[in-house]
Amino acid sequence: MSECARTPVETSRCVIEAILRDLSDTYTGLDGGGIASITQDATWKYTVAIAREERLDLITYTVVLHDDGMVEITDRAKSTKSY
Amino acid sequence: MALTPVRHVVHIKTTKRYAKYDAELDTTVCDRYNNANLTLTMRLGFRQINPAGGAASGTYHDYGDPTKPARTIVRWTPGSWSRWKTNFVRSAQPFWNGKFWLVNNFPTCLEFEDGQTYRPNIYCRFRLSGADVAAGGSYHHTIDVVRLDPSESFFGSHSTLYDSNDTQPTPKDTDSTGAAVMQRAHVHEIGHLLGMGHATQGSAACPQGPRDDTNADACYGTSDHDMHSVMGSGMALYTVHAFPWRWAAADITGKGTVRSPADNRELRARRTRLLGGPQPDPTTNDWSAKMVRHYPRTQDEARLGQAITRRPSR
Ligand SMILES: [Zn+2]
Repeated sequence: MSECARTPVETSRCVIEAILRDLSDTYTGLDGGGIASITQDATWKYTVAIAREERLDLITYTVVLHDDGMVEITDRAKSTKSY
Repeated sequence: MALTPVRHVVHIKTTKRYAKYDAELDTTVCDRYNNANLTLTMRLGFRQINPAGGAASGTYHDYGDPTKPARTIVRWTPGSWSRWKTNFVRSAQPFWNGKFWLVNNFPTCLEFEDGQTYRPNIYCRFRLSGADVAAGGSYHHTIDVVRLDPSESFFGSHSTLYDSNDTQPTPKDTDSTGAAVMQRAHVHEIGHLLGMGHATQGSAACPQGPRDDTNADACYGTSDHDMHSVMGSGMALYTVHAFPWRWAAADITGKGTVRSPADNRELRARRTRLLGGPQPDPTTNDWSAKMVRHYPRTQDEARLGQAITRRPSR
């Protein structure tokens, strides 16, 4: 059993680490308050909310955890919550 | 060369009150060198947000939403409050004031005699006032303001909730050259309060239907041009930003059709969907905006479509 499958919290850690690495590579905004929240919307779906002026940028990740412990991001969708 | 004495024939100031601002068209200043003035006046009422219970320090949540991160705020003092309001007005007003001239494309409209008949254009002015709501009075917009603790670098603001740092230049995005795109948030917010949407609002990339979110990232622009726009992530003013003056000019004079930049983009996107291929920009030429002075024209100059951008000998 991979380290990532050992406990539910370890699974979440692996998934969130993969998401944060992807975010570092793909998110281009410079300003804002950083990550306001990371929520688990479904077992394999997480949303990162990033505080910006006038809005939260929402990035929803769909992931797969492979047997070898590798997390694969299968979808990345952007949306917005406006204020 | 002997000049005919300046003679004003038209002496009118017409004021209209709208929800977002008041507009005054003043033709008493017209002569062969000077256009009519169109002054948009916006009265902001500022309201302090202070830490609860009279404390010197406390917290307030981004966007005023208690489910979002809290930031440390400090109590306004009379001095800091007064300085903030003054700085806000002193920096936002000149950004929008005196930047546009609207070309008068309507024969006889606003024309006056000064030796011969001249057709003035319109010079776009902006007057901003920021007073304390607590003092009473009437305002076009009421703005709540938090004073951030010096340890905080960010607060989630929106068009009616500001923080004390919103007048500071902040990097917002990166353009194609790798340069940071800087913005002072308050001049962008004044653009919203004047009735303008984001840089690409109405386009296919940023639809503005009832279920669409026009604060989505793409609405602030992905091309350098849009990104640098004051209604994107930058500080650049373009002629599209003369929309509030063009609209008021058409409304006050009863001449011409002016749609918002977002509505023009939406119309173009709709035509592109229906007809296919790139469709022309549907922006009308009525009261078209320029960013250099355009002097009043004689009837002949106007008929020939000439633009008088250097001081003429008259
Ligand atoms: Zn905005």
